[in-house]
Amino acid sequence: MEILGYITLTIFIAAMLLMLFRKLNFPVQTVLIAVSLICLVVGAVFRSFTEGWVGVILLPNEMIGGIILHPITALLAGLFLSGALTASGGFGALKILINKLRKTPIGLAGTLVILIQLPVIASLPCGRIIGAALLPLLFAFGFEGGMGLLTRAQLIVLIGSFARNAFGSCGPSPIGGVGQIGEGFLGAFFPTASEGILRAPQAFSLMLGTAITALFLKFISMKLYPKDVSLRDLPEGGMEKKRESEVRGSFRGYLSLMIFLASLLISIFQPFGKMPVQTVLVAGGILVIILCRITIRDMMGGIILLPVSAMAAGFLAAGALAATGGFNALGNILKGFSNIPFLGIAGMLAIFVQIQTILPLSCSRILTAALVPVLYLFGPAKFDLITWPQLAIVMAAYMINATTSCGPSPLGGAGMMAEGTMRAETGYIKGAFTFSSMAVMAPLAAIYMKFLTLSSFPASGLQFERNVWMIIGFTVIIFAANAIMIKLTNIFLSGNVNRDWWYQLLGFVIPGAIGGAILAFCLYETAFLPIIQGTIGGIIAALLIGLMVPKRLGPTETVE
Amino acid sequence: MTLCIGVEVVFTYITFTFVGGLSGAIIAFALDMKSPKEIIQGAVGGIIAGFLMSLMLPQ
Repeated sequence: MEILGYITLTIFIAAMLLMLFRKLNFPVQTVLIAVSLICLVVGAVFRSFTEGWVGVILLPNEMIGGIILHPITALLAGLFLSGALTASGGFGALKILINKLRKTPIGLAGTLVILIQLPVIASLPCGRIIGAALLPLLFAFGFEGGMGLLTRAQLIVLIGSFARNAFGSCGPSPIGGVGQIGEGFLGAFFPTASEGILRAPQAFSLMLGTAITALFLKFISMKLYPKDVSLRDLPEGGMEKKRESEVRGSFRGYLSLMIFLASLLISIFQPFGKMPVQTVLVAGGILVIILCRITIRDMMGGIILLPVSAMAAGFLAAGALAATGGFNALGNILKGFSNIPFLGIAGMLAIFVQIQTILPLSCSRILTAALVPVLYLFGPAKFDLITWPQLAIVMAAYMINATTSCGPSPLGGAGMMAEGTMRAETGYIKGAFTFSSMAVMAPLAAIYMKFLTLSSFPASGLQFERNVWMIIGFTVIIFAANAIMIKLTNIFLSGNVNRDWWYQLLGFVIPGAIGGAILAFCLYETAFLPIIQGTIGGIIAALLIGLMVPKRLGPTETVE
Repeated sequence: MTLCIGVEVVFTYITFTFVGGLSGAIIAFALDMKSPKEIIQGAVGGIIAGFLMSLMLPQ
């Protein structure tokens, strides 16, 4: 059975690598379903020898049993409501409100910042919901969208950083968020963990990660891929005219917007008792249809099926791997890493927390559901490699890194929605998204967990350290180190595709090393060897992540 | 115990308004809004966002 796990894991990883490097040019859904079927056939052959026909017959059931329907239905419900909002003119009303907000003392800059950080505040169970609802609005800020308030470069930063925030916001969500998988396991030691032990570290690191994404897009992505966004810039002298153009809102638009906001708030705060988020969102959508008198045909125009089908195919593949022992094999490999002297436990964990950014799938839940149990087993529950508080720190770093991994995934990842909105080639935002997850979010979440959150969730009479100055200090250090690296990389970029890509890779490695060292510090404080091991682990993870960032995107850059 | 919870909440507000303000200023800069007024507006927007986020966390 163990050999079967290694075989199916190899098939899965090989298929993903071939797709990531564009050697397998099929839709992600096709490849994932093909992988699932191949794993199923291989598993059936193995089981026919080891367990007989009973084992073969049970295999498809085990595979389908691993599929998590919640994010798929939540996404469909969110798209249903946002489709209704689009059809009823809700975005027109929102544009007017934002126009009014930018005339307040916080101005356009403050308004855009709030808009960019809105997804993590809303904390919906899938970032695609708010992404599908608000990305068209962000597009409207540009010349082609009608408002003409922002230039092409500003629009790329706005859309990219909003998407970074949105496609990480499902982690700290209290209503079926990804982080709740980890909270369930930590509940074995921290009695109140299910109240949200992982929420604050994730949200905190996501806010700064969003800002670093904006810097990366501005200084590196736009320079690495100058011709891969087909957005048009403002014409000469056209900006003022566009600015003055009136955006008209209707009563239907305001009403649908109110229903939309009410649905979001009810989903988050659950004032009428616990109910599935899908119920609230669908009820909101039906209310919009009835009260705003829109047709089903209009509403269906706002529903995007690509992420839904990609996610379903991803869950099928994960189910096949789980049923054939593929994830157990991965756990064994990772545990074996901790026996390598220069890596040790700290180095292995520095790689482990980055694993979903190394292998980004269409929905982070696919691997999270399989790998969080592996991480749990590293703790006192089985292998005893780390203590419970250390497990909580690693879990925080792992969870935000995992949660944000759907953003840069080329396999139907959520980031493709943003790339579509900014008219960019697939892979444009991958560098920025993976950099912020690796260099900012994982180490910062660990710091926040160590110096504040642990003290809020006491366990077995233990007193944990609480030091707000350490959090602020490390936040400044992480920001400064990454901002300097981004600026340095920007200085060295010269337009030579191959050379620039190597500079970018170096720009990944140094922050990766710092991130690994900070994680090791959170786990072992000032112990020298673990910090060195964490640094080496961080470098390896950064290399694996940086190597996945595409050198070139569209056909326009084929000639060097 | 009540005092302890109060301190945690205050620390949460402080850390989130700090990271919100810092992020807001960085985002404003990245959006080519580089005048002191725009940077401050971005920071204030970030502080509002950070404070709202901290209100949404378990108390």
